[in-house]
Amino acid sequence: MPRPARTSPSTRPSSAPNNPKQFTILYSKFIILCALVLSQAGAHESPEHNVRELTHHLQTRQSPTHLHQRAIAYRALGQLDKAAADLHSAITLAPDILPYHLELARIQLASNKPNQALKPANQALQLCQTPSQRANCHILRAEAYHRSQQAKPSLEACQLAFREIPRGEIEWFLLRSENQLALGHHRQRISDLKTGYSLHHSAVLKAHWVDAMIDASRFQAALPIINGELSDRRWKSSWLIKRARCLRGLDRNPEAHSDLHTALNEIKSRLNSSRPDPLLLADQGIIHALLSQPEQARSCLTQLKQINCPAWITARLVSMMAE
Amino acid sequence: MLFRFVTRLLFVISLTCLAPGLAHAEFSRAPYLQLATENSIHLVWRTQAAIKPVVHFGTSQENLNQICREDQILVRRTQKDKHSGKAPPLHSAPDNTFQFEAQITGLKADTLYHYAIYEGTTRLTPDDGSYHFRTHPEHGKKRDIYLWAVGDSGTGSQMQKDVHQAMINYNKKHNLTLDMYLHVGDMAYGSGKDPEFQANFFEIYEPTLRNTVCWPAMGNHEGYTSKGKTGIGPYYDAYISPTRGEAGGASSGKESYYSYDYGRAHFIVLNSHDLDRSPSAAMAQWLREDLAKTSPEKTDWLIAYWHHPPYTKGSHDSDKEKQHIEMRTHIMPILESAGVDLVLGGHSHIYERSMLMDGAYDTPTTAENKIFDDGDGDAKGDGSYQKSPGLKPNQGTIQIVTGHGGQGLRRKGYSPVMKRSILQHGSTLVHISGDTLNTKMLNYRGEIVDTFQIVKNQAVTPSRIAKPWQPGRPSKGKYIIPKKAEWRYLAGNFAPKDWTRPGFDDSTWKNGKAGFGYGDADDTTELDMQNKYTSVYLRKTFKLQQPTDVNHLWLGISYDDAFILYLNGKEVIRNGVTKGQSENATGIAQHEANNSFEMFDLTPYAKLLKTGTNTIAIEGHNHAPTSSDFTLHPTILRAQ
Repeated sequence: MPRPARTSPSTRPSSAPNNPKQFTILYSKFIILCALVLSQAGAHESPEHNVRELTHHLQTRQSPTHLHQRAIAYRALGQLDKAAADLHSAITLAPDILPYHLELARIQLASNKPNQALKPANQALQLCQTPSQRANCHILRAEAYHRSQQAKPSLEACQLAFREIPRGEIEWFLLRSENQLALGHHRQRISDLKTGYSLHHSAVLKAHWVDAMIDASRFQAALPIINGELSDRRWKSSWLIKRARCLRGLDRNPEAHSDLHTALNEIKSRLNSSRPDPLLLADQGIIHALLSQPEQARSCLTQLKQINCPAWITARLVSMMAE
Repeated sequence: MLFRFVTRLLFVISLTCLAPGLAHAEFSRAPYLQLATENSIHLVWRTQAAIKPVVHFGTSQENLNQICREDQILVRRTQKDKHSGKAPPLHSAPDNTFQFEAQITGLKADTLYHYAIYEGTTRLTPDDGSYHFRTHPEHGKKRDIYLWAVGDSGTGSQMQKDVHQAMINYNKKHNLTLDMYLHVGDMAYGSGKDPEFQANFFEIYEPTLRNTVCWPAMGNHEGYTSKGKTGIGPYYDAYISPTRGEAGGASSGKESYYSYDYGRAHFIVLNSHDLDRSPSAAMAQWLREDLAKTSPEKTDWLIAYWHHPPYTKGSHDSDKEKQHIEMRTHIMPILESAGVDLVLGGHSHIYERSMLMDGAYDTPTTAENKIFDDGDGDAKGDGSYQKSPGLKPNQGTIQIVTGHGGQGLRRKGYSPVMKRSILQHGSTLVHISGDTLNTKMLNYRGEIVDTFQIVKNQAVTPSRIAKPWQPGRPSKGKYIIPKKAEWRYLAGNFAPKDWTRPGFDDSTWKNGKAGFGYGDADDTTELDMQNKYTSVYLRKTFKLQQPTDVNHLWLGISYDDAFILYLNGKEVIRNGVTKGQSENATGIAQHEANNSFEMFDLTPYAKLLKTGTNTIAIEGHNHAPTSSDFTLHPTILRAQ
């Protein structure tokens, strides 16, 4: 990602800020510097210790920097409500500090409150100075919309992030792909994931790209890639499922069934019954759905819901069961 | 006269230019190795001026007959210094920095090469035989592997240097050569800035880095200035990590998590600090892909490491902090179902090492039915840990917290899965030979204070122990040295040099009953220390009846302010004394006895003890002569 371009300084020779916006930027930098210094001072200590120390300081004076630091310590301890409360207080005291809004949006997302994450993410956007900052804000907004199942605004926010930083990040490609799948933008999804794979060479993006091809019924294009992957791996189930979906699409059902049974046996040997891997469990459900075993597929889906599995993992299984 | 002066001046200048040690000073960051594969390696270095470098290399020190030319060497600069070219700019570096990254390709596998960096015909690296590298063996080739793992070391302190030197001395003594160096994060305190990397990492480890690849995991201190998501920052300037599976494994697309093969071992490096650690996030998806690609035909051992360990009660508590909890809850199930053997972490400033365990994902961590073998894993002790050959799922993992590389040590408690919890600076040495993985904790004085083995030579069906051995202070036991026992003591003078050794003549010392001290009305033997002296020395012998006694001893001690404990002449525990011994002890911390006895596990030092007579020696130190109190009251307990 390119580093932010320097903004041209004021023509006045003075080093003093000459307008409120500049003052805000300088103050913001000062706050970040203070936060860095303070966080390092306590960096060797555990977050419990930092909470105690910062609470002691805050009893004598309400400082937004200390509130921000305490929020970070609370977040590390998983006390997200307390973290959010501190960030709200910090923002009241210093409303123009970008990191406070970003942190609050992240905390709200981590608390599964996507609607409450949107407000700080939108406020943060007004304070951004660089393409990188704006892109991160857009992705936070996209994540918030996505979690509240609003694929269209989420996709729009993703595209705005890519407009700022075209290379993007692996996670941005994945988020955009999920929205495109939900909206049925199959061709664009394939193209974008392929671009992401060519830029980042991530094995994860490759797997999603192949899934996108299958979702768009491009079975012949997907098969050679799948066969290449299957030629050299210890565990094959996820790619056997991909191949079975292709083979079914091409009316080669006996071969598809063979792959599915092989995959099912492998998953059964790997799946930990007391703490099942959600992706393996979802794969098992998909196999049952493809083998027309709806009861077993439903059972997998029930288990996935019990362990609060994210929607993108269950989406394919849900749509297959609806067919 | 002027002529003679100029001649002498020219002579001195010519000597200066020819001296190899001074030529070396032209590097602002000395050459170090990065990203090695079976047929390639990266060499990185910095200068403060533009040079036209050439790397000469070859399999003989005398005949560096191959060349990596200038046009094959990447040059990176900061944007401020008008960086150009395809390579990403440096995030930060001193003005006028040139970072050179030479990728040497076309090499033979598992082969030792010597190298030299030249500018034109001028050799910049000294010709002392220490500039060399070895390519990785072919994936799947049977070959011994020897590695050094360190964490939380980048302080620039003498302790960091001592830990490093202890490893160098140990290897020299045992004629060992490192194959790789694993750093589990926090290598550049306080915030991972470029000058901190230079002073606290590159300069201190320079003799090792010039001939050993460091494979890093990012720590939280590097995270202040480097971001795992973007791969930008001084950490990412310093290291070249695989993103496309160059050294084996699946392509991660990011330098912040990656994997590599070495012989029959597969190594996985994760980012526990600033990336999404959930099981559905990109990092966990990549991990599954990587493990699915790990060939069982070519791989016998699986080792993973990152900064925040899944289990610790050192300076951090893995039952309270999110990063630890998420790595344990989300990542460990994936790794254990793939048959991981060893997991290394840092962050917590302590050495902790688990029993052979599996499936302990709950919070708080419990050990019941999660332990397969609650022995010490020492072939000469309770016996090696046993696993089936190859990578069998859920056959047991050993967890090591190796966050004791230089930063201040601390313990909050005892994790129920840990067999060892040692507050000593040091590092971890891992030696894999065929079906055996042998690990040692080497302390900063060069002593081995923990060792265990995993052996995979026969099929094993692990069974879970309902109530495994529990670490922590013993609930009951028998005093070997009780409270208020009689000791020999020396007060008011410094002890002679050999006062800790068995057989030392302490007949001129006084007899007294513990505790020793003044103030607080908690001492049996009152001392006239206040405003006079700050150190007191105690000696005593004690007998152990059974050979197994050595594995069950605890020190119970009430102390104010600090002490150093010696067993049979060897220092074993140091609490509140930063540096030195006896009259040279410095950095004395303040500590209140509060009429309580703190317990210290002596089982890691069992090898220093024997059946029959043993000698215990303790030096107690007061923070200041003016202090209002002092207490030193030791006991030895045999736990039941």
